[in-house]
Amino acid sequence: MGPIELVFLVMIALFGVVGIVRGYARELGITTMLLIGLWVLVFIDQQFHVQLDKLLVALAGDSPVTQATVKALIFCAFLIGIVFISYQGETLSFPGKGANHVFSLGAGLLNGYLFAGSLWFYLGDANWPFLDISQDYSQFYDLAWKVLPPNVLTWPYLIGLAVFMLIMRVLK
Amino acid sequence: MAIFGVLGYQRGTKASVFMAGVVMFGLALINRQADKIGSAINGLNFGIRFVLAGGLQALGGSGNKSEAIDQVIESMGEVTPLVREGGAGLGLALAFALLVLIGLLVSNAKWFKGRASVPSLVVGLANGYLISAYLVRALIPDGDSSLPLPFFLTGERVTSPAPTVATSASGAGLLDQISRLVTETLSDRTLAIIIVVIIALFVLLATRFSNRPAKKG
Repeated sequence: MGPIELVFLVMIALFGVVGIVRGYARELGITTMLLIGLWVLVFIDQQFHVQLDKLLVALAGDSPVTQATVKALIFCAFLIGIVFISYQGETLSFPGKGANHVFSLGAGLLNGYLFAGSLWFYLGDANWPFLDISQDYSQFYDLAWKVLPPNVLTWPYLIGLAVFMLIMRVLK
Repeated sequence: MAIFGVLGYQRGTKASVFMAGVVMFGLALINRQADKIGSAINGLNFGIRFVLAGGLQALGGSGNKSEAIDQVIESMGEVTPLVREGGAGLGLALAFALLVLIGLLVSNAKWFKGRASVPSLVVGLANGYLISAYLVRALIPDGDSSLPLPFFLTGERVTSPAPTVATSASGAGLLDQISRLVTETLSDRTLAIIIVVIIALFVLLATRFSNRPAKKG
């Protein structure tokens, strides 16, 4: 089996392609939703970890491994739900006169980084539930792990970015 | 940073470069002449407190002036210096903030007005970085600030890297060097700030600088 990071890099690249097709104005709306969704998860994880632990004990029992798995599944399901609703439903479009391909690719890759990077973090944090992944990670994996969104962006940064996005959305 | 970036973009290159000059001049002056500026600020603070406590009446009144002045000084109690030794304290930060405010007001003049441009945005962001880095250092002197200031503005000497790092870096690949930069050199907070700035800058550029016709559908 190849390195797991390849899966996520391919996922990020796919988001980049989707970005080119849809245009940056619509992709940035999804970025905003992802930032807000990620803020909710990181905020709960950092500020309400006692209550979260109690909930996980109630859901998964005393086993720390099962708790980590359930937490990863809940968090990933939440993010997948946000992305699905954002792409499927009414899109929060950003101002801009056009669909510049470079910016569209960038916005798509940014969404890929936020989404795939978060899934990577939460699944990796739970030691890859249901998957047989070797612990002997590559140097690239360790480097990427350091810059995954939930790992590097604390909740004030996330909400700050989300507010900035909304300001950019309403500014004419 | 974002605020100064937007201001720089809106006001144009001339105003941004002027602000950069003001900020760099202010930082260099404060870091090289901190003691003199500090004593001037402390003196000014003392003078204002002295006047408010009735010092002018004591000076202008009849009778024993020195006794009256002593009484006023006694009534003032202990005046905490706004700038402590080494330039720490609120005083220098306030002086710098005042200088920045004056710079912002002056750069709003008609002569400085120019077209919005990417260079002005970049210069504005750099101004924002220098200002916030200095204010963080000044207000939290004991804190471990992860926002480095250029050494020519602070007067600090650049420490040479450890020989082991230099030796191992010489034959390392690009991934090794990036990995070392991210894991050893940059703190988590610096890394987060870099990522946030990149995202914010990208969004700003995408929403403000793209002007091709809209895509239908």
